[in-house]
Amino acid sequence: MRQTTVTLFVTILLLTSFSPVVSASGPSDSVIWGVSYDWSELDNDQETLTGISPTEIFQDLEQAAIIAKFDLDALSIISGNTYLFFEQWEDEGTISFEDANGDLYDATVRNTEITLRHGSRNDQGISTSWIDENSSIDIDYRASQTGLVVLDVLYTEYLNSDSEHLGADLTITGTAEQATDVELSVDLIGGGESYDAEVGLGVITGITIDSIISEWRTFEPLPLLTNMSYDSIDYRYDWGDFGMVSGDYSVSANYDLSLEGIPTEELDISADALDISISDTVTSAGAFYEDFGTMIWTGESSPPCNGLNPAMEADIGGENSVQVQCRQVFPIFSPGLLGMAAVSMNSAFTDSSAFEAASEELIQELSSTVEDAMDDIQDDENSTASDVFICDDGTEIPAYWVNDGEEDCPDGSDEYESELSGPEAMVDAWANSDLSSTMEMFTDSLSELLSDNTESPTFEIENACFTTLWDSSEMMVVGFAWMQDGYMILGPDIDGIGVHSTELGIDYLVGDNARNAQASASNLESLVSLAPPSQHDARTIDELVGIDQEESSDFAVPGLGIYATLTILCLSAILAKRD
Amino acid sequence: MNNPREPYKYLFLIIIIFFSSSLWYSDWFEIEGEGVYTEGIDREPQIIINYNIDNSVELISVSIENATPLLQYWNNRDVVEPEGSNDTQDNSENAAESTENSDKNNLDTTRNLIKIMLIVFIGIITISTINKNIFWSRLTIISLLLISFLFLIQVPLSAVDDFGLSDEGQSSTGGFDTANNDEVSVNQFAHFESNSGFGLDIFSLKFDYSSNGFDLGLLEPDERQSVIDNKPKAGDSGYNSYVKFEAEMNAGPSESIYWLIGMGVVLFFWYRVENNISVVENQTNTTE
Repeated sequence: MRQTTVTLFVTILLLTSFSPVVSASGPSDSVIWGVSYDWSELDNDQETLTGISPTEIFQDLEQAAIIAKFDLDALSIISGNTYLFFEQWEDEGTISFEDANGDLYDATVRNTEITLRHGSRNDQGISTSWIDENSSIDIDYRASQTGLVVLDVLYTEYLNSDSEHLGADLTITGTAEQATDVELSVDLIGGGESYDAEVGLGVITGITIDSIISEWRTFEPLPLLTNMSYDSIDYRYDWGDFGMVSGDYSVSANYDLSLEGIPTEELDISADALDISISDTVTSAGAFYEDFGTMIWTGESSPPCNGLNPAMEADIGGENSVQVQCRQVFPIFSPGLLGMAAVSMNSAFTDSSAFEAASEELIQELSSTVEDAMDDIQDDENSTASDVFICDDGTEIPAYWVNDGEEDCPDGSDEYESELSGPEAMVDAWANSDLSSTMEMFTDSLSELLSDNTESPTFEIENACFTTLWDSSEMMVVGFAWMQDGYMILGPDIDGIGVHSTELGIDYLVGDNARNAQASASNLESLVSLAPPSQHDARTIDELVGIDQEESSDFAVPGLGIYATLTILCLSAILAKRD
Repeated sequence: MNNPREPYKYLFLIIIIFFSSSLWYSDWFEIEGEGVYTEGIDREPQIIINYNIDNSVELISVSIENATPLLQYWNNRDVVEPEGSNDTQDNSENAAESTENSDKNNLDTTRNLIKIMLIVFIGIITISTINKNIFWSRLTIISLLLISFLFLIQVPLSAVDDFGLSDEGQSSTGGFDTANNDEVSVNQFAHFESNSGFGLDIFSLKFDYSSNGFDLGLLEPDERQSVIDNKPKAGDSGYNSYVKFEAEMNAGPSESIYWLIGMGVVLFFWYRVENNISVVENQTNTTE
């Protein structure tokens, strides 16, 4: 009996340890809404919204290549998830609040929590092969990108009894990272010359916000929310007129650029390949004290979106429906949030000398590289354009007319059997092959196939209407609606509004559905959890470009194997001695 | 009656062939270098270099950590040309030498030699297994010693010859400079000092190098002469051009050494077992 009790206790403990942890700090009756998107639906959604199917585009490319008599295979896959939730609630009672002038007020506290989680994986592969009698071009291109964004924002406003702003606090934490890997394999043959190279490029950039904590205190109560309730307001508060923002930050930015398999012939290095990587992590921490400024823009409540009335009953997840207005409001929450975020982020990233140096240096490096490349191209073009060929009879013609297949000299001496070598011989061989006619046929076929396969989209996206939903009694945005022809494509349930027949991969969530989804999403902070590799099978792309998974692993025998073998030998020797 | 030697010798032969092929496919030679700008540049940028040779590829990988201040340093400094220098001529001579060097490609010759020697070694040891006598045993040991010589001495020498390490100059930048894509002349630095050391590790050679000096390229042209004439002290004008670079380098036969040792040990035990079996056979014959 005792054993059974202990077992039950342990089981319950284990089960509870795996249940999702609700990290949202809002109460159960908070206003919460948001969206989630499954990126594997992107191709379907793109076809729905534009009438163009990415899959069919790839098929058209391959078909056009077959018609033009060369091989071309292309594939792209994307997966991952994005979650974005907004939760708002008001604390019970009032607190005593001191503004920038030291005046005390009784203030209500209104909280806004924003949770953003995004993780995606995108792989592309292109393999093309063209063969002529004596020439060939084989190119395999493989690219993969991953993206990760984890952002948590908590914004706390302090309002007087007239819903005027006295100040606010803002806490931002998060990270964003983007990684790209490109592999290019080229095998070129022509004019008795051959060239092959395998080059890889990797770029990783990231930003980490360990914390940005700031507070805004006004000189006097500001009627920002009241102004947001008016129709057609478009004005900006000047910086410095409405208080100060102060705070501290701890942020870092990192980059890692790598180039693999750089050909060394031109670099005067006696090696087969050169790999270079440069990386840095720039950290910055400090404090700021800045003038505050913000802006407000609101649209007309009438005319509203096609099919929406100026005032409607919407289900935003509470016990009862809420009366909302169809109204364009920007920023969609308090203008204070936009102003504080702008000042805080600007102080943390732009004002930091470390970031400034890093970004300037990278920009300078990149621009000088591009300028050098452009100069080289320009030099080549200039030299080609200005070079002159003198015919045997003394006539001068541009050098690039020589051996172009047409006799330009009166005596035809510009067309002769050249003894070219290196890349020039290769290019010359291609020019004399059927490459240009093949490409011409490919382009013609592709444009024909694409025009045949383009279908009308399910609806005209430019006629769709997007609007925020404004609760004038609470003076807050409680959601958004995306409408088409009087039907809801995306948004909450609204009395009298039907759902559009179009189905997209994006889900609009309110109330407990949003609360549960937000709680689950809050715990997803890694690429593996947001875009699981198990749901992203890139093997078909690897096969397409000829990457063998087993081939890519190096031949290696662990040192342990050597010692195990030696042990067996010792034992064998001892046994032999006994015999 | 079966010869008691048979199962053991074929087991040893298989192991030797396996070790030989592993030796062929392993990394043959490796140079690992790590240099740090310990003074003069913010956040001590680090340059890590790996140079690897295997049976087909000679790969150099360069990695720069805390790269931003170093890129700034390289971009912001001027290249100081020594007065009356004939750099152009020198450079063209160097380029000619370099082309000459690259034409030699001693490493490929060494690779072919190793390939031949490994095939010969396997052939000899196979004959030795079938036809056991002292001549073939000695030939096996000699060929293994030759292979060891090629791996431990010839491969590094070929690499040094091909790579041109022996011609490398010294500077506070450790030989890296994006400004002119060439090694930096010591004239770039005032009060230049450098130290280098050499030592032996278990399976590798160890080199230490440190240099320091005042990089004139970081100074305005009219400030340079005063720094050349009087070495600035901390806090003096011109002291901000002080740069110190420290580096360590290990050169050795990489993982190939373990396979070579393994082959030696296997041979040792093989002959030991052979001897023991011979002794037992002799004793049995004597008793009979």
